[in-house]
Amino acid sequence: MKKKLSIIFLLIIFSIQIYNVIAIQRFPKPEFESGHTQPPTLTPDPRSQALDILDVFVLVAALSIVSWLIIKKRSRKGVFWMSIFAVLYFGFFREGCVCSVGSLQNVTLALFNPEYNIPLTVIAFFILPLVYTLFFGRTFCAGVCPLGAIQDIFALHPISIKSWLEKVLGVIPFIYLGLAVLYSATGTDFIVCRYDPFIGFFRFEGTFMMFVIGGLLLLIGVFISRPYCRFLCPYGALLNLISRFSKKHITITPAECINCRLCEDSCPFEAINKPVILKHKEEKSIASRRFVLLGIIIPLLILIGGFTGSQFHENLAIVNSKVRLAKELLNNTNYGETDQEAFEITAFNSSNQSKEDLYNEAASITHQFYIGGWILGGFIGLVFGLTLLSLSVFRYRKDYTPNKGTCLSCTRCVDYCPVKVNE
Amino acid sequence: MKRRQFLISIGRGTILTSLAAVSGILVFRDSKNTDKCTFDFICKDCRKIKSCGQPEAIIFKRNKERKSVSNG
Repeated sequence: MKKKLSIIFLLIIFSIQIYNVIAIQRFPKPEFESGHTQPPTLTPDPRSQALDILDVFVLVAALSIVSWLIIKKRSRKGVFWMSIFAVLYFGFFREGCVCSVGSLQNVTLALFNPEYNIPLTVIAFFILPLVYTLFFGRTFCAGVCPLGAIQDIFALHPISIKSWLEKVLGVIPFIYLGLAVLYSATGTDFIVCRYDPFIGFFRFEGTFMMFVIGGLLLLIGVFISRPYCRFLCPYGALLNLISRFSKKHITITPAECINCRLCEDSCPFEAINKPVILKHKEEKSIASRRFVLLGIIIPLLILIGGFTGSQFHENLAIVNSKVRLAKELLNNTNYGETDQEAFEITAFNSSNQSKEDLYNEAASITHQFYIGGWILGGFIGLVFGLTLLSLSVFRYRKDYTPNKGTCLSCTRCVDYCPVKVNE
Repeated sequence: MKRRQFLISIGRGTILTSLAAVSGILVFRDSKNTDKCTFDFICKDCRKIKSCGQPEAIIFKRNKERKSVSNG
């Protein structure tokens, strides 16, 4: 019944959005050359600061309620309704901005560029979910993040995927995180916001491709639950790391696990650690040898990754508008359309700025990308190395436990446990 | 306390301290405010710019208005 209601609710929303997709301008506005000037657009008053403060209060309240529902009440129903609230408030009402996922770029930009004045609301949206995760696990992902919540509603027929594939795809968010940090630190772009697949749904407007990618992810999400959260979200990568150190975390059973195996396939995110039978325990000498080998391989991977990243610095830097303009000016091209001067070149020539200054600035940015390429490549190498390490380590467990890194605290597994605690 | 729990506690303390330090730096630092916002990529493609009250958005809108006046 709940599933049917959510499908009907989402169908209504998407059918409204079809109108907006059709209404997108297919042709650019005409450029008037007859001296006609377009009247200036009247902008409404800026959004009230009081609403910003309210948003932070709502975030704190939502995080507290969801954490209480997960850790104390162990209520799936409660988490589900909080997800609906998150979609409505943080998604549709606030139009998905500023969100914690994107705020990581604002924080990076502010840390690397002191002249950028970061709003307090953005700092709060970045820090608060991390702090709650440090104490209660990924409760933010469970029922406060609108991007996760909208996907969670669609997780209707989850299928299991191979654990090796899960591990390999799980590396992507770290690469995306590295790229997002690199581009925001260099003041180039906020790629997480630019390629946010669900923001178009929340704002009832966006490019056609945005709707297609968002729709595809939701469609995939019917079978592979929350694909964006698991295999793309850069903030999720941060939460994954922090959640491993959480003070409290959801448990499948409220008391001692009786190994009934009922919860074994209950997690749509493959985030349950199964018991490892002791008879498979390997010899200490073999384990030590493997660790020594990995101790050599990981620094090597970092070095190879760093070198490879640095070799791609020019390709990475071309995204920066100043570097692109400098290249266009140098080559006097319009990226393929050589018979026509680029609009950017015309605009630059009419601005009376010095070409030398632009070239120097572009060279400086490209150098930043060279250093950034080393760091990004090294970081990716480290992630690959640690993934390799985690695949080769066997931890012996007696019980079924949630994986503290990948568990999204959705509380689905709780309902499968027959063990009850007497009040 | 077991060794594993001890290490996790140390890790938690370190993360918490780092988060506090980052927040402190961002909130209390002396921002070098300039008249010109150079990070216009944030606002340029934003669909919420019209109703946005963030400082850089206000500067961006002001600059855009100035440009349109000088051009027109």
